[in-house]
Amino acid sequence: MAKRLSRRILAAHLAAAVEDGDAKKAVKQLAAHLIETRRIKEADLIVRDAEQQLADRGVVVGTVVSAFDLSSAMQSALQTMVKKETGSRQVTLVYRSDPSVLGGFAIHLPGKQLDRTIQTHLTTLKTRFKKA
Amino acid sequence: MTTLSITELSKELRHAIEQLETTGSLDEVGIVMRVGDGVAWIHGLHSAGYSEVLQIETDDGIVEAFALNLLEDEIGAVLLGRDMGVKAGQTVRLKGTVLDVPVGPELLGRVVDPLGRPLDGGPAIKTKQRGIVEREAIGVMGRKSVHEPLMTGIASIDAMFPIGRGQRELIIGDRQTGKTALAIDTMINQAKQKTGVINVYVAVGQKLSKIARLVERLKQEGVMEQTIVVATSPSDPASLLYLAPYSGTAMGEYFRDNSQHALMIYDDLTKHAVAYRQMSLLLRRPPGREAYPGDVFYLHSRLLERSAKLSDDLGAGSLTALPIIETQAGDISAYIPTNVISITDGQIFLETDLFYQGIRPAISAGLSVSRVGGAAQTGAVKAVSGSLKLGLSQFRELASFAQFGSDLDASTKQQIELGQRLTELLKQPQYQPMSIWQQVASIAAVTRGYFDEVAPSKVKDAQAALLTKLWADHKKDMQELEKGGKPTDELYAVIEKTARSVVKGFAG
Repeated sequence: MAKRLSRRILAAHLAAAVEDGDAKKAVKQLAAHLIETRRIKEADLIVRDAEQQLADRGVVVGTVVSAFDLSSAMQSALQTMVKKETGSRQVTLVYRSDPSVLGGFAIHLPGKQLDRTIQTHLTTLKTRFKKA
Repeated sequence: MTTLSITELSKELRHAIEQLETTGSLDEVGIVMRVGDGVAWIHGLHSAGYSEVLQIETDDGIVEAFALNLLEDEIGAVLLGRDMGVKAGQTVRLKGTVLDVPVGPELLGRVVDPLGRPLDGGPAIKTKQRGIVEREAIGVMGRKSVHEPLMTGIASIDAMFPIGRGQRELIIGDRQTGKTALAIDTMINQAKQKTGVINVYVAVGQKLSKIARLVERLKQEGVMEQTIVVATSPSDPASLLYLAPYSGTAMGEYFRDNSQHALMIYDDLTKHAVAYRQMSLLLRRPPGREAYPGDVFYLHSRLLERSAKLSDDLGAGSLTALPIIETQAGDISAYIPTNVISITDGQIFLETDLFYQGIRPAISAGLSVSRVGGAAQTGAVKAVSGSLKLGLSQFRELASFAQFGSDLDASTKQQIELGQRLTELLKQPQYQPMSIWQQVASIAAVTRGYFDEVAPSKVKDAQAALLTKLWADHKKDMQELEKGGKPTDELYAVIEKTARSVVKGFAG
């Protein structure tokens, strides 16, 4: 049976492979290791960790969620803001529209978030009124 | 630095903060991996600190938790509420603060939970200040030795095991031996004697009906206006039971730090240790003796170390602690009792046998001790109770020995009779704390031999008659005695004369 490796080590291996452009082979290896060590449930967490490690190396992949499609000017502004805030050399943002956020936008980055959606504001208000 | 430059600096700082607020920065987030039994395991949030508050976004609003296990890959956080709405995958943020609770005089007369939320149906509590729940204890230089008395109004305690302001005195005994009753009487005495001491009663996992009865009684006795009740019931999550004593202490510390005196009652720390054991086992910390975690001693030592008498430079306030521990079958050598005994400055041990013999409060003279209270004892009480503890301990030994034979020498017989009178004298009904002059006159009447002719069974009646007559005929003298100074020969003469005059009706 294969030696059990920590999530951090597996994520570091995956991140290094992605950075070197050899992701496919690494993903296959990782999948085999997770099956052998019966840790399939941890796959999502390892991917998150790998994203985090990539971000630490200056490669950020994130998602922007908004109620409506954002204009190209807005997308460009967000791209610049994320680059400035994270100090990364390469930023890739995937844009997604989700009417359930009601308005505003949320940027989801590895381990970080900027949530300016109306939905979150409403949740905060709900909690505040509950406490009072 | 000039005043002008400080003003400029302050302006710049404010401007910088405003700019930060408007630009909006990225928050560090994590996700809930799994949740159950009041514990959430969180992935991410690498900069979370120990005991830091985390906010979990649920469909039903934000649920707070605090980080207790910081591991390589995950964080174990204990939820400060129900875990029903918390699900795997939900976003978690750092609140950026450690736990704090509202503190201040606005809390007086209120019943609150360990997070400072009202439980008495009253209006929301708005205080000017908040206190850190897990605050570090004051250092050596900030303290002063215990020297002022904290009168409990219970003659046997004030005479034999005096408690000083800033002391930690443990109340220990089996279930139904009157532990809470002692604590309540002490609180009532603070109001009756107008000592100005603020009471903070912390109920850890107590039945809500019991807490309701207690609050009602405190209201009846007029004590509630100077009391804060921090209540948790057995149905509350273990996290709240764990936090209750620390929150209560934060509330008490406000008064201590503002040159006032506060009395903490932790009812009881056995349940507190059990709640912490539950949390620790769910957080998968290694179990030790009796399945308690390795740091269960630190759990109570860091709590009780916050009770102190402050130095004059810090305002000379005090925080006195009366922790309660419940034993099983009188076993004071169990794990938690020995821990707390070694932390506190003495203990009042209540015995089941004495309780069922009708000796109430059922204080064991042999096993109880006050290690620092002697220096703080009221002069008047100290003057009359010098040999009381020894006499009573010897009597209880002699009494059991005397059961085997009837031929006793005169001195033994005398000692037994004195012991019987003392035992009767120190019996005291609940909710009737005694003032200083009442204690001094009663004890002097027995220890100085004025009641030698009174039959032990009639001592209480003789005592009542003596106190009534003294107050009626010598009110001024008794008011003088109430000031606490050592009684003069003239005062002793007044007590003796009155005692001799009332004795006739109660001779054995």
